[in-house]
Amino acid sequence: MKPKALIVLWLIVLTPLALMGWMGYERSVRDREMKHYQIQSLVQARLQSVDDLLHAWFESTEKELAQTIATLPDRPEKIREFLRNHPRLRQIVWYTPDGVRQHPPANAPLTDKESRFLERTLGTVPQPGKNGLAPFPKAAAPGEDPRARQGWFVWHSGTEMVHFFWMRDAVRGFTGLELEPTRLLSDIIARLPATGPDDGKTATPASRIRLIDSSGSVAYQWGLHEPAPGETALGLLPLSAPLASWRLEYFSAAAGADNPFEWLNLTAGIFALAVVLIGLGVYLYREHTREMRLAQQRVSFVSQVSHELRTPLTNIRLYAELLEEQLEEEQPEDSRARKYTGVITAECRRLSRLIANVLNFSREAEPAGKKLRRKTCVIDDLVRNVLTNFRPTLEARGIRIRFKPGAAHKVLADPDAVEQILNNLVSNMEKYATSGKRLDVESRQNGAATTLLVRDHGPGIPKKEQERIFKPFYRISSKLTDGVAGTGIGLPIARRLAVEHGGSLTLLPVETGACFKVTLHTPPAGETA
Amino acid sequence: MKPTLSAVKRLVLGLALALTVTPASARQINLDVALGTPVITAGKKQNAFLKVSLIGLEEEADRAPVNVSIVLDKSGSMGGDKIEYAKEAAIMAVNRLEPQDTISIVTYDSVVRVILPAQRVANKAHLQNRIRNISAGGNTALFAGVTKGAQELRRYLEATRVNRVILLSDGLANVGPSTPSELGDLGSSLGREGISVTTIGLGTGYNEDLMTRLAGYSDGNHYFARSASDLVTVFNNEFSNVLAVVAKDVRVIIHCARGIRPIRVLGRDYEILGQEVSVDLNQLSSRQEKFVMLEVEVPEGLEGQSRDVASVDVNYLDLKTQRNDALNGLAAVKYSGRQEEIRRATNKKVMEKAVEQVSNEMSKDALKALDQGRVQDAQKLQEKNVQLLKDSATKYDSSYLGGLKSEAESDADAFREVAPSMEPGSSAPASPMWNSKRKELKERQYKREMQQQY
Repeated sequence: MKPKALIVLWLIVLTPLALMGWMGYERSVRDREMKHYQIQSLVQARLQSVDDLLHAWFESTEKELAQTIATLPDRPEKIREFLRNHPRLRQIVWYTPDGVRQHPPANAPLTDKESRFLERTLGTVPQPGKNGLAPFPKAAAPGEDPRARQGWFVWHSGTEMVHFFWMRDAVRGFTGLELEPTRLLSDIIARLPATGPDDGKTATPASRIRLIDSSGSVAYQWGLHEPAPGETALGLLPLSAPLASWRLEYFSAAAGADNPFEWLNLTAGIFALAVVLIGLGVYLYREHTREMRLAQQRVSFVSQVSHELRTPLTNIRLYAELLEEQLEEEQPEDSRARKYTGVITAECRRLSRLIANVLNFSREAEPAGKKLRRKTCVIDDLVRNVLTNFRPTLEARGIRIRFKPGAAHKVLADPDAVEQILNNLVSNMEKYATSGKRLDVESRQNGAATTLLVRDHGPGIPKKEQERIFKPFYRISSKLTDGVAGTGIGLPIARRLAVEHGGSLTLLPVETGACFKVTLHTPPAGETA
Repeated sequence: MKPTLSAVKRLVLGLALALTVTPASARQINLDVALGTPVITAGKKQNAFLKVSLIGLEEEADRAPVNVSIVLDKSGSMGGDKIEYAKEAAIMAVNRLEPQDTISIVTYDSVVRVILPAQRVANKAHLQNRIRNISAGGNTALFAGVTKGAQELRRYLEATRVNRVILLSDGLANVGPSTPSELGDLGSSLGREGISVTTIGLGTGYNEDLMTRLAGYSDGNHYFARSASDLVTVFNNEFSNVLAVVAKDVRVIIHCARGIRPIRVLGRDYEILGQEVSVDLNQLSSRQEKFVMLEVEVPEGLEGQSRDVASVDVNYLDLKTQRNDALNGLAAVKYSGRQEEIRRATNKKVMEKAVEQVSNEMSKDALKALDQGRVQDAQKLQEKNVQLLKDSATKYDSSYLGGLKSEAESDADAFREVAPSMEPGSSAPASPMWNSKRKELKERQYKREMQQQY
């Protein structure tokens, strides 16, 4: 009983804790995932807006460059002057529709820069064919329409990434503008935001966006958050063409780390709950053990006293019976004296039963062993015996006893145990169910099984109490039991005896009153001797 | 762009040996085209120096409005005195501006902050307060800093303004592009846009190659401020230069006459296309002389014969009249057999500058050799340099060249001292003394070749 109660108590304490902890953990995981997702989409949106900004800028630049090509003069010296006035451009290459290189001039002296340009781009910038409309072979990104009239061509030369904007048409031929790489980067940086004032007033958590070039180094960054070395980016977005090998990285302090308070809250909650539950558990356990202890003390006290009472009681009973016989012989007519002795013996029997119960109950602590003392007996005789004993008191209360015998075979059984079971059942009936004015007892025998039914027609037992009444010291707390003396061990002992006897004691559902069913294992007496 | 009628007349009437075009009275620039040796030995192919010199005239009133962006390094290394002096210098600079001018202030560390978006100089106290609030810390995103500075300038970018980014840095760029060539490209592109970048290197931690190239390609100035306390002077000088700009987009085109072979332009970036040499000078301030020193090969000639060497066109934007203007000049040589005549005709001033430029080129070569770990080559070059200056000082009886010679000698000493610490093939030594010397040298070379005013 004790370790079981402890386990139950611990379960009561630990289960909600574990449940809450698990739920808290689940929730925080979900929260984190949610938050992570939200942050991710926020980050992606921010990076996307940067990419959109650059994309829009490239588009407008394309228009400007197309415009630039439209205004391109045709004489080399004019083109050179033109270049001087266009700080974004490094060089211009132009093939007429019939495939002649107009600039840098194919048949006129070249400047150093122009010669270097031709060397640098040898094999990179194609020599268009006769119609001047040959596509940029390596140029075009995969999937680019070879008939496109304009586009970007990006190549890496050394550490530089060179952007080339080209156009072609039947009138002008093929024109390519080589952008000054550092100027292009500078223009991009100029379009990107600067870092705001460091006043700590901004509502959003400090962040840092980095523009990473194709070699993986930081080309530009902005934002107040200073990422620690090795800090991983929260978000990453490759830029769209023609900056396809570049990417954006997003760093932020607040979003990166878990909120420590979240865990604090959870642990604090669990801790508080644990304290409450453990307190409650300890209280319940102490209450429980106190009651148990008290009951045990009571029982052990009573059993000690009972031991002491047994000898004098036996003597009283012996002499009372002797007295009864004596009176019968000497004064058969004095019914009053006989009545007195009858009461004395009846009460002695009652007391014996009580003592037997108490001793039986305290025997529980004894090691389980052969407690039954089987003898050859007839169950019906035992029943009649018990009923005879109770008859005076029951009839005094106006209760009619009906016995329907059905177990007349000689069987091996412990008569003390059987009698005690019946005693307890009938004594209960006497205590609680006298209002029914009836006691029906029935016995049956079927092979090695004997069944006894004890039924009253009293108030019955409420459904929820039906199992608990078999527990020791449990007494239904109601008007029913008020003012009735009882030890609360009658039914448990009866059940235990029945179980020890290879059977059971159960409560049968009936419409009125209570019907106890006792089954016993009773091997026929002839087989074993 | 076309020569005016009066200029043509002057050309025709001009002296046979060398000709100076006197500009019209309203002009902001004086053009002086002169040969170092207007009379040369007959019967022999030889080299001559042609100096095309532009002098900004003194400006009494109405200066051109300026559009300045001050880009300050506020990385961790600028902490303490440096940032305080830089702020003081910037505040002082703001004081010199007037309501017609525009200013913006950008700071950079790992990131770039636009402290003061481009605006007219209306409320100086407010501007100065914003500057005072700058504090140091972080990395060095120099490229982005210059970019943002230039972007601020673009809000008020006008051809008739003096558009200038003033960059202060005390450290190495380490975020974004950070090689001298990349920054040079940026400078070149900004220069074509009409923005020049002045670079101020503070202390001994910056990359002088990067800073001089950035300034050089955009035709800005370059200063080496040894200590933070020099910054106020440097800023003052820079603003004196900025506030006195009289002409912009100055382009010199030298058409060499037939038979004359252009060899090289000393110091400056140039383009040679056939007989035509063109050089961009970008801006010219009042009382500033900028020149193009062209070395040409003159074919042999008979005694008494004259030969045209080159005609010169100068185009520029006059900031006072806000109009494009042009100047022309012409130079010719005479062949002679008499040494005395040749010697007497020699233009000492031109030769001094020519020798200075040649010496400067040698000094640059020596430094380059040193950078590449060719210590002995460097020392030899520098000795040759000293010898050239010594010979020339005697030849032209020039105390100016004598001064340059002592300077070159002290450079040679520095090269010798630094030599033991240099392994052949290794990169430049990091001794603090050499570090400082190299920066000083770079600054001097830069100022010589660009004819920086201060």
